[in-house]
Amino acid sequence: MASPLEQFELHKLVTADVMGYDVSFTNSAMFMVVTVVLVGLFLVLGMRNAKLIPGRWQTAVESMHEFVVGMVDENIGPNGRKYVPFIFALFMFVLFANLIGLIPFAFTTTSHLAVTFAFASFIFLLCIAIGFARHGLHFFSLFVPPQTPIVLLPLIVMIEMISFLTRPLTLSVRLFANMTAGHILLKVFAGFIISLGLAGGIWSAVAVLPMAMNIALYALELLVSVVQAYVFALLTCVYLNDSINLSH
Amino acid sequence: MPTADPRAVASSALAQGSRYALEIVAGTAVGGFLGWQLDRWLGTKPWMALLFLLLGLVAGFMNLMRAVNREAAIVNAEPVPPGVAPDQEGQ
Repeated sequence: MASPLEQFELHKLVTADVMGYDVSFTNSAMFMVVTVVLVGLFLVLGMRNAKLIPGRWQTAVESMHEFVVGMVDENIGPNGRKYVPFIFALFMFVLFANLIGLIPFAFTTTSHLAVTFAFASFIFLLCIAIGFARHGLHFFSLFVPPQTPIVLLPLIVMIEMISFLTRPLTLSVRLFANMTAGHILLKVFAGFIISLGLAGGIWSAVAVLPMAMNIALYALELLVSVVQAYVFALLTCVYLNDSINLSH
Repeated sequence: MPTADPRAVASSALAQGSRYALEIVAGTAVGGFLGWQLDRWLGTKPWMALLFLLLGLVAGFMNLMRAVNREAAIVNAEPVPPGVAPDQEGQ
């Protein structure tokens, strides 16, 4: 029987090599393209005949955008409006990548740490760049919480710096771990269905149990996909907020 | 304040909870890694690794404590709706 980890294997569809670097077009890259195309179609076709009184599709697109705008307003405030396109693109990509991954035989791009860490480190560097662009060297006051006793200052600054450095790690590991764990669980229970079903006799009847479990897990995975996309966008807002509105 | 959808509250709580749990683990890991690198630079094995491991753990717990204090401030500021006994909160 196939290993539950087989679904995460990368296959080269087009082999390419640029100056010694392997830049092959893999199944992961293909599903990223599929994700981008589907997001694009969803948005463009939904807004093609935009009317004052929106139809179902237009309502779906608009409510998603309003959701992100609301999240940005709540977490960043009026200064965050110009980052709405970035957060919206991020949210839509992660959401669609997670949901496409749940379709049988599809590949989940967000189940690879390389992908999520690339996103997270880009966000991390962006936060630093925006912070220095807006506040200059005053940005370092991020590491000094208000009302810190002068005696504790070196210790607190050190702790705050470590806490700042964990951001790209927590952001990427959370998404990656949630998607990977869920998909392994689905495959393991699917494996139980097959092996019990083939065992014959009374065991074949028992195969209904992992089947029911898998259906329940599938519903849970749908929830996890949406929640993790939301959390990824939300934390990006929280981190951007620290760079945009220094609290003191 | 409008009454929030309990399912939205639950998924937001799930998101928040997993966030702080992960931050404690990641804080310790990043602290330990920083200390280990500092040890290799300064040749102070194993003291920096131990110190930074602890600092990372403290950083994770400090984030958790701040979040709890923030939540507590919100809960305390909220007026108790009429007809709800205070001890029935959070059920």
